[in-house]
Order: sequence, then C-alpha cells, then structure tokens
Amino acid sequence: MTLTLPHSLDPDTGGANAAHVQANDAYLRDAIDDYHATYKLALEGQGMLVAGQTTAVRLMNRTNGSATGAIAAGSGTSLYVPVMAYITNALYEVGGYDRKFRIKATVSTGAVSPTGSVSFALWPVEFSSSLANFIIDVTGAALGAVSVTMAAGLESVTNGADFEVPTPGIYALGMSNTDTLAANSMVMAGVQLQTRNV
Amino acid sequence: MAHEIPRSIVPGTPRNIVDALDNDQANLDALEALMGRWSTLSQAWGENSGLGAGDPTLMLSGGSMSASDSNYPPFIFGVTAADLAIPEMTTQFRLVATMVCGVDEPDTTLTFGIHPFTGAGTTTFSPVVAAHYAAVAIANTAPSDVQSVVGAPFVPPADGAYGFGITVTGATVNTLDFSYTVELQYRHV
Repeated sequence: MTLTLPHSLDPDTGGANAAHVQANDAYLRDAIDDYHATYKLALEGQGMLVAGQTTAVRLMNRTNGSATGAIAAGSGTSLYVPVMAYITNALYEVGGYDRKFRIKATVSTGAVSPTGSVSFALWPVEFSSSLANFIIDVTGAALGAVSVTMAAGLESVTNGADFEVPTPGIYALGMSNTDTLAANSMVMAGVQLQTRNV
Repeated sequence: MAHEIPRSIVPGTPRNIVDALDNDQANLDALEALMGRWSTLSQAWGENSGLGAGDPTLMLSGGSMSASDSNYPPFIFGVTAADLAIPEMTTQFRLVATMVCGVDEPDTTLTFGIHPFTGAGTTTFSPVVAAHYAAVAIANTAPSDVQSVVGAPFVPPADGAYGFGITVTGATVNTLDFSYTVELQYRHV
C-alpha cells in the first residue's frame, strides 16, 4: 500500500483546483501526523529477578549481565552499565509536536509464580564514586511506571500510558518488585522506553 | 518518484495552483521516503565459545541460554502492531546480523532469528522456544572473519513476546569466541 493524494489537477481553472490543493495539504498533514505518532525506540534494556530478592529498585542493563541481571539502586558497580540517557525535550523535538514517552515491558516467568507485582519505569538517577566503583541511586519518583502482576508461566507484553519528562537529567530504566520473590521463581524482562510526537 | 499526480493542465490555469500541486507531489514523495527508511525496533548481541547443533537458544548479552539459565536475562521484546500502524501503509520487518571471529572460526552456519517462546517450564526459568518466525544466516565463516547479512523484508509477526535466538546447523568446530549482533528493523511501504 502507498499514500495517494486525494486530488489531482482538474481540467479547469480557479476554485476547484484551489480546493483540491487545500484537501491535498490536509491529507499530507494527516499522514505526517500519523508517522510522528508511531512509537519509536529510545532506550532498551534487560533485567532479571531471582528467588529471594527483596523489594528494591533495580536498574536494567545491556552489558554482560550480573548474577541478577539488574543493578540494585544504591549499590556500587564497576562491571555493569545501566541503561541510561541524559534526556531533554530537545533530544526528541519535532517542531509543532509534543513529545511523549512510554514504557513497554515484556515479561516472562518460570513455572513458579514470583508473587506480587513488578513495576517497570524510568527513574531519575545520580552517581557517586568510591575507589573501586561508582554508586548509582534513584533520586526521585518513577516516571511512566507500568505494573505487571506476576504469575507462573507468564509471557506478557504491557504498554504503559504516555508520559512526559518534566526535568532534563539522567534517567535509567528500572524495575521495582512489591514482594520478595518466591522460592524457585524467576522474572525475565525486556524493557523499552519509546517515544513519539503528537 | 513512486507516485505522480495525473493531470492535464489547460491553458489559463493559474501558475500558483500548478505549483501547489507540484509541491504536494514532492511532499508526498519525501514523506514516503521518510517512512520507508529502516529504523530499529530492537537489537541484541552475544558471544559464544562453542555451540552444539540443535534447538534454537535465546540470545543473552553474554551468549545464549540453554534449556534453563539462571545467570543472564535473554533479549526479549514485545511486538505490538498498533505501535507502528500508519493508515494506507504496510509495516515490514527485517533482520540484520553481523558476526566477527578470531583465527578459530565457528565453521558452521549461524542462523539468527526472532522466536516466539513461552515462559512456563519445569525449572526456574526454562522458556519453550519455538522455531524462528524469521531469520538470517551467516555461512562459510573463515578465520578472522567479519560478515554482515541483511535479511529480506517480512511480514511482522502476531502481537506478543519474542526473543532473539541463534541456531547452528552443525556444532561449532572451534572453541574460541565469536561475537555477533542482531538488529530487528522496521519500515513502512
């Protein structure tokens, strides 16, 4: 399929063709709106939770995973890089459109229900350092959180609501569990930050 | 250009009207070109130091997972057709894979694909990985090789969860690491 303009030039002059031009312009404008409204990838990361892990905010990463596949906020790390970006509105600016973000969480669990729910979101983060590593911690409320209720054998794709990033800064993808993970349970997650312009 | 506006201009048609319709056509062509550009939907990478022939394994950032794995999360992603839908346009996907290796080549065919899977299992995490929905293959590897393949466009799969996977047709011959990246792309035509 392709886009097709609704009107071509009529074999006359004046008013009809002027109306056609206006109709074509409106059609093109709608098509451009449709394109900008599609969701596009901004950030992507993986993470996992294993049995016994208590409630915490853990950050997704895309490097060679740690034993838990996610970095506990407030802990030191010298090996793994969280999925993060300095986000400003200008990065996703399209003239005449608002910027929207959304969290998309793909979650899979094993044969045992992990219990509770897990939220996936964008967190503002800050860093400090020690001799051996740097410390990463969350500094504010999660943005765009989408909660997924845990169950055995889960395989789900969940989209959050559109949200805006009100303050420029460094943000990271993370997840937060409401309950300690049950024995023999595990959560695997792929999380995307998507953006669009509407 | 792909589309042209049929027209017959009669004498006396105002020049600005003709120009405006020409501009419409040019803008439509530019918009279609923009929509037809390949963009990233998801991507993955890994490395292996030996793989046996057999069932596909989901790719991890550290390699690929066997029947169950408790160390690394796999590259999984969701497909939702509505995310990408544009009226009057068709969404296409394709895969792009790149492999590099040292002097010890894998010496087998490496097939990279996207796989539907189910999470239930008898162990802590043992996804049931189905045959690939779409794939690209790298064959005839050589020592110190760099290869990249671009797959043909394909129809997006049904909405759901998918993982990047790797399959080998014969066990990798050597045991030194080889590394790879896979990217799932989309466009509108």
